[in-house]
Amino acid sequence: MGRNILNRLFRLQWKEKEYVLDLGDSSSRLFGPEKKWESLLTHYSWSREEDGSYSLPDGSVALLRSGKLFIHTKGKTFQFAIKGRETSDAQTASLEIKSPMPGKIIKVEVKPGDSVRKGQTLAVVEAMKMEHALKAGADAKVQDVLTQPGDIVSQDQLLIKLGE
Amino acid sequence: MIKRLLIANRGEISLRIQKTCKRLGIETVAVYSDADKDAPFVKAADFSFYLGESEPSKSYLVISNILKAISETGADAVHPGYGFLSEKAEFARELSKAGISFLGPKPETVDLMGDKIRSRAAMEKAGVPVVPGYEGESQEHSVLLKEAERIGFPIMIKASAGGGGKGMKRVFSKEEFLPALESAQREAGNAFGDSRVFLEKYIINPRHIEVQVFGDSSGKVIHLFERECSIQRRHQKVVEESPAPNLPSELKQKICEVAVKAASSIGYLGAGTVEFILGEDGAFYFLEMNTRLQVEHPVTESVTGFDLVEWQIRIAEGVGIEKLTGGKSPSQSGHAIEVRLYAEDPENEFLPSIGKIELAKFPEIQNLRVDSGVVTGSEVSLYYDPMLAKVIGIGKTREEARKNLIAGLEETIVFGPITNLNYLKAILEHSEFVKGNTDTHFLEKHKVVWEESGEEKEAVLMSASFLANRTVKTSSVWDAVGPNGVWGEIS
Repeated sequence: MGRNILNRLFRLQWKEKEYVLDLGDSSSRLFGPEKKWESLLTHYSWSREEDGSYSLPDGSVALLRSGKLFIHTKGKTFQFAIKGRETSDAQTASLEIKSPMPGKIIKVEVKPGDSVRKGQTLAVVEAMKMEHALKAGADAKVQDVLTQPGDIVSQDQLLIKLGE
Repeated sequence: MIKRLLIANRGEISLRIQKTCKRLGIETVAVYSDADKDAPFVKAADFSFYLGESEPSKSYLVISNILKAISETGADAVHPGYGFLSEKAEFARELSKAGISFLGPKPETVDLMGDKIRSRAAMEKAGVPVVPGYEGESQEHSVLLKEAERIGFPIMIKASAGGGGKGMKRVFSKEEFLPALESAQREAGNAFGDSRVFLEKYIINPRHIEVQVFGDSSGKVIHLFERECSIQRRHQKVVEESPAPNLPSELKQKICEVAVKAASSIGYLGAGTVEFILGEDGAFYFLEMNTRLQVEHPVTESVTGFDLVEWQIRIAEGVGIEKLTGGKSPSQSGHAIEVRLYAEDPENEFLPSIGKIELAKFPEIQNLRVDSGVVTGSEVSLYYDPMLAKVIGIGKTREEARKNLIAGLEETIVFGPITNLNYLKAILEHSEFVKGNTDTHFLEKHKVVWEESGEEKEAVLMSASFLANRTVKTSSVWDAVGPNGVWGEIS
């Protein structure tokens, strides 16, 4: 049961802020970045279009693609990065540092054998002039560094491996 | 008669030109680079020709490649669109040598108007007002003061070797002049190793007004009224309209007449635009002349009812303006506002945003015109201008056009690269825009807020979550762990 609960936590990133979604069987909750903000989900009905998008009766249109969630509603376009779910399996994920987007490595701050703390910046990747810090998902030791500054990397490319 | 037209351009403008050609029964030839091989404008044309690699300098800008495309496809005329080779006199000259009709002015005109100093001199000679200034040799303080008084305050002192605002001083009165001059010369000397300066009249809250002109082969030149293009970011227009709001009709008439005078004085042929800077005091000055079709030509088409590409074609065929207007003088009716939808991030200094367009939906509604160059699946590359589409709202009044445009933008969907859609809508909804109070500093002066409200934010997050929820629940990979977790649809 414990694992099940963990399985239902998802992270959505919007404008540098993370929102956590807790999916339940009959109702779901959404937490804002400050944890103070919380919403109970209401019932919506989406219909799936031929082009893969979803439509709401109020005219909103949404699309899930390339690791992103796009929503167009009331004349505005919103874009979320989907950070995947936070689960017990995240343990593995937190030890494998992958590039979240295609880009260029501009900084690598660790070498094999270094001890790192959870949340510590390990490397920085840049795409379209936007920098993104790659952080350790757990307290660990650096096992392998598979990249160096200047490398052009693809999305989900393994960059750093952490171990016990 | 033109039978097969080659369009030496890409994207939205190529499709726009093809539309007129199809109506007139003229065959079209598209040219393309590697990046554009699957682009909608290539598929829509009757013929296509591969030019070269994606970089414009290896494809769209290579005159010899275009000439090859012409001879291999048997085109008898070329429309250059805008940008690329549209204002290259050499291109027009090569075409004329090859006996190919060029839908643009004579090469000499392109040359003349491409040269800031020569065009300014030509306009002064024709009696067209240019921004008063002093660019003389003498740097004597007494001479400069006398010149400043002749020009009239406020004036701008600028470093001759200048750039980046260094050595630039605004002076509002005679008393401030000498200290400002000394300081400007000192700054210029330190920054550029050259202390020379020049003077220019400073125009407060200037507006950018331009006039569409046409000349035919008999030497007749007419205007198709004005466009207001004041709202710009990084010196690039984002909102354009016709008629210009809050422009007294006498002043409008005067500007249009001066534009015709400017074009007539150089024997202008085809479509052109005379750009003016208009001061608060109603004085206006020649800025430059664009010897091509403009991005914002649809607003003129909307208020005059003419197809400007058709005019370009007919004029190249030797048809006179009398015939094009049906002998009547053109009139301006209704109002049109155009916005340029760019793949760029208003929250990140308007930097271009590239990538695949995951979904593109443009509305087909009344009183709205969309000229777009992209479809779902198109790639926005770094090689070309990031303009995705032009959306034009049309109405009997300005307010009607504005509302129609907003309604159109609300139904415009582009997912993938970040776009300026929310920002454009916010400009149109800004109270100063509603009043028609536009000048070239509009976007710096007014805070244009496109941020979502708390309620919108909550609603969107809720929708996002619900959709995520639904997708997850209907997915058979609920317990599977992939690189993106259970987000089965994400690839």
